[in-house]
Amino acid sequence: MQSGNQIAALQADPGLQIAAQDGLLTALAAWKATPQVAAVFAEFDKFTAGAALPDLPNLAALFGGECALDAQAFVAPLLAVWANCLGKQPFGVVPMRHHAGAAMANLMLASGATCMLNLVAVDGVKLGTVPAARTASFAPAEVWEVVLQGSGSGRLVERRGEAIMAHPLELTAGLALGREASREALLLDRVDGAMLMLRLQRRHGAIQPRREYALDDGRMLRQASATPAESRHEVAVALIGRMGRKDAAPLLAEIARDENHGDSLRWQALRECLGLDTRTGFWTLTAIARAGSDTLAVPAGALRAQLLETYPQLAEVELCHA
Amino acid sequence: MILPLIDIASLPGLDTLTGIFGSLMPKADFEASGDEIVILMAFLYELLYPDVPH
Repeated sequence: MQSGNQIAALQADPGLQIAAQDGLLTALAAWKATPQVAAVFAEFDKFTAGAALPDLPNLAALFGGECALDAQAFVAPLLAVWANCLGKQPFGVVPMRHHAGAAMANLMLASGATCMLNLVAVDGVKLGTVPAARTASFAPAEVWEVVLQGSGSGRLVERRGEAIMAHPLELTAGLALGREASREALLLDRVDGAMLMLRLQRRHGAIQPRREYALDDGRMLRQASATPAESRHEVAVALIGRMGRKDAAPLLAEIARDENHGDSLRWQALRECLGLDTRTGFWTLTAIARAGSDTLAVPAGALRAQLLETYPQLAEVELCHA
Repeated sequence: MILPLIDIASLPGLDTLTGIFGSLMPKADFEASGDEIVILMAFLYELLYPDVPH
């Protein structure tokens, strides 16, 4: 690699590393201090607190009507200075969370609570090497997108009940989309050169998993937790079980009965609770099975019947509790 | 009352399993993820052995 000497120089002199970062950090601070950008960030904070987008004129201006110019004017000053800085200091690290995948790169301009404001760049050449999408995934979120630069084509995939429909979409600079991501997904098929988009999203209904459907017949293929917190809790619940923490059984019972958690986490908590403390677990299982409106009532009823058949003495637990 | 100990392995999962967060990675990203580890290895190698000629 040609970069070896430059990395060696950076490693040898921390001052060079600081200098490489300095320009990027200064540019970010200056950008955030400009009145227009500061107004957008202030409204983004209100957005994270639950305000509706139409009530936030500066933020909404980036995503509505004749918005491409507004949105471009919003990000262009930062990108211009950063591009210049990185030209001089290629090993500077952009001081914002970022991620580059096969064809897409993301820069997180702002985040808070369940909201994110991302700048998305799509590399058309790399996108062309990826097979066309045959699935689309949906998770509950409000999403607004605007194409800042570039053009291409894609599909707006709509899920209505069991049916799934794809509507062709021409993407050009200035196109703004607002969608409910539990019903509508955006797929990019072709990008001419490179395309830049600004995306604002707010997740809701965190207990609903993200689900992936086949485009040809609409069948569900897979699902996964839509939030990291839900998965983190599931791992913690499994760990408590493996540690044999019987003292945690009441807490697991509480999680299992709390319908504000996702079904997967609740079911894991119920299983671990049964494994740690038969009495508490079985009471919880019975309570869930008898709560008619509970989404887990049916599987809980089936498991309860299975356990009673295997261990008839559990019937006494129920009598004691009553 | 002596209650049985229930082996958690004997307890079924739900009919539809839920993967952990991030496991529905877009295909485009998934197929490219193989290179990332090589890039990281090259980066670390250069960091650890900066004097080795390239």
